[in-house]
Amino acid sequence: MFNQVFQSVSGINNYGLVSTIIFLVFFTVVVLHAFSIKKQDLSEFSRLPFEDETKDSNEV
Amino acid sequence: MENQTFYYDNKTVKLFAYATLFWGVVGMVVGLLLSLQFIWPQLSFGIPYTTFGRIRPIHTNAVIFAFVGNGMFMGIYYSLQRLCKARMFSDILSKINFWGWQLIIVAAALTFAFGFTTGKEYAELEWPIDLLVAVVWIVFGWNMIGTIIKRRTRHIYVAIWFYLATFITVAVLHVANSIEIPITLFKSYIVYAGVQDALVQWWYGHNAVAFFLTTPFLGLMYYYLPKAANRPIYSYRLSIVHFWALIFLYIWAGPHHLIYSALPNWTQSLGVVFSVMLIAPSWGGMVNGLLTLRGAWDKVREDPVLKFMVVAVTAYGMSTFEGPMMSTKTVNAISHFTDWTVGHAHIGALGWNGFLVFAVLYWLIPRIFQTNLYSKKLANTHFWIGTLGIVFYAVPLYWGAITQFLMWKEFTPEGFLKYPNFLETVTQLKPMYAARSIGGALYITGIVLGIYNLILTIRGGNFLAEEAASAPALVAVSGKRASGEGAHRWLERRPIQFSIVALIAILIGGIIEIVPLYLVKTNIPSIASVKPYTPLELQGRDIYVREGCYTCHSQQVRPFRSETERYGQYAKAGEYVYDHPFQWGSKRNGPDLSREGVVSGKQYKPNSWHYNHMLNPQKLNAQSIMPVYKWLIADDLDISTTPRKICVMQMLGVPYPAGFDLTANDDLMRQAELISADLKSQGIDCAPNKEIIAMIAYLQRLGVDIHSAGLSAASVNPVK
Repeated sequence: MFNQVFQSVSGINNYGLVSTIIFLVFFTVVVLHAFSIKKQDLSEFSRLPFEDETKDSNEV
Repeated sequence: MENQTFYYDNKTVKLFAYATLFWGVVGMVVGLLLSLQFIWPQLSFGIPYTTFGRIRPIHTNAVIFAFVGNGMFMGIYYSLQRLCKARMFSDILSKINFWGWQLIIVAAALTFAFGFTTGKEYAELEWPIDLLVAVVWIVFGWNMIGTIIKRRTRHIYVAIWFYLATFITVAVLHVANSIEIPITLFKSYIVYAGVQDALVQWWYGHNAVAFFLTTPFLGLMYYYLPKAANRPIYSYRLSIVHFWALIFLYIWAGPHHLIYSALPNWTQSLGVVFSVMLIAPSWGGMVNGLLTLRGAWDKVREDPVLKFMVVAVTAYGMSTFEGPMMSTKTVNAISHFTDWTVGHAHIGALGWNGFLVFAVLYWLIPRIFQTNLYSKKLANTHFWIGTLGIVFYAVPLYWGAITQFLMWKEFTPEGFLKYPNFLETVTQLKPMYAARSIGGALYITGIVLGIYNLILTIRGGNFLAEEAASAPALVAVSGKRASGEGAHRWLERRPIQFSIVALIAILIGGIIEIVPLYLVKTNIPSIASVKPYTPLELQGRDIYVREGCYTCHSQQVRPFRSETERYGQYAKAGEYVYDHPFQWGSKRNGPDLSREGVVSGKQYKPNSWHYNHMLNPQKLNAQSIMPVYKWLIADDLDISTTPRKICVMQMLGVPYPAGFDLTANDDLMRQAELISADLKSQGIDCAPNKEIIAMIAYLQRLGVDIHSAGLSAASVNPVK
């Protein structure tokens, strides 16, 4: 079935354009999400590496 | 909620740390030997196990999968436990992961030295070891995901996203690029052929760089850089965009390794477009790393860990700018097949991966041994020697690349190639190769100093195998989205669902590129004159693969006047349909061989020349850097495998007549006797059952079919 579908695809050169559009949509969604997160949450997430009980850095 | 006490497993971390140091030295010393063979080919010692074609995969696999791989596991095992506030899921799985990985490395080194290889760059392991890799990788993923599931923190930190993407994508790549049909215990044929094999291979090859050398190290950067600088990552928001954009885009970029090849143009264009777009997320990551040091640059002066990290992240930025530039058609036309690619790869491997591994080692070893680093001064010396080593390594290769492509492409005013003899362009590069070796030696010297420093640190410390920690258990909440909880927030606490979304993101690019190539017939036009290899040629081709000839010789003439004038007709997709695996190569240390057998061609040499060339290349030309292959003349050809090879080829669609496997060896001997007789007429006494006869048969077949198709060089339309 897929074989027949792809054999009938015309203008496969448009794949570049289609793929770019797919990425731009994906990228836009990710950026919108990133900017929708509250600053307080971001700050909390970014401090996760410091919540373990190992010693602070720069002791070497 | 009551605090729970638990213990971090530092023993596995320590084992991986020792392994990365050991294999780092082994891999790089082999690399140094390879580099010296460019100057003194005698350093192959006239034995098969140390020839360039066999030890080059040992070098690349040892550095990528042994040095960097063990470094990656070390960093992940340490940081994952702390980010999840949980011990690794299973000590047994940790042990299987460690010892299984070391077994794979040893098996790889031995099998490559003995010539057991699939002939696919960075995926040379034969099928039993491929299976072992799959098992050990699943064990790693099982252990990692199990740890994430039993974590004591709600949110999964961004470093873990990168670890998850690494596990998922490497599994997909490894399986897809290793579908082989076994011939013997250590010989198989890949199911893909020619152009399709090339696309799958470089989809794998490029994404091995992306998802083995890049994403896990970005994860390490997101954990260890903030720890070392003692400040959180510059922008967590940017890290989210960085992660998703990077994994989505990277998977599309593979075809940029095949620009101006016989790959359909639309696939090449996709590879170029997405490679250029990759600059944005890559630099987003680099900027995020470097800006984390805002206000802490004074520490960089004093702290060797931060020094290593800064150069590592900078090298990442350099490589990820250079890579997309090399992907554009204009630059690729001159950079491909030259030492530019090697220089680019080593900026990434030595700068990004190597320096980040050492940054993590210098940070982590004192902590798990509860002491301070033995000598900051020694670590700083390591840093400066290593940095100089990278510069001395890369700059001569860039210089050499410019020399190469200028010489390859130069014409006289009369319209002839100025340097028609390929060897002239190699000889010119020897000083650059010598300088490169000095750079490599400097880098290794730095590592030896680093190991000495770490050994003394370890001796002065007290190893903390079980590190106590405590945290409250995670309160179970509904798996469904809470009110007001965004979709991604929900995803960030659901590792399985997160992994599935990441899997979909990485599959989109691969499916769009690879599936149509298989299904749209017009992508691979068939050529009626292209016939399957004879049994003797097939055996000869397998010797060609065994000896790793593809590491120095391409089989792909690009559509440039400078190449068609030098070699003959440019490559067509249809001429490779029976090549399991494809052997296009990626670097020309010697000339292209794809038109070697065309009697009226520019590259043609008689059987006796090939015999003498394999016996002693330097006797034919004192400047040659080709190793001797005298064992091909001494060793008998193993024809017991011929029937099975024919059967497997038939299974793969190669149109040998039914029952041909039963008579294949008769056919083989008839052809071998003809070549033997021809050699005898030239005064060379060589029995027809020797390996050299099969090798000559294969070399003399190259380009013959496409030439007989009646497509003369004059009918082609080179780009320039």
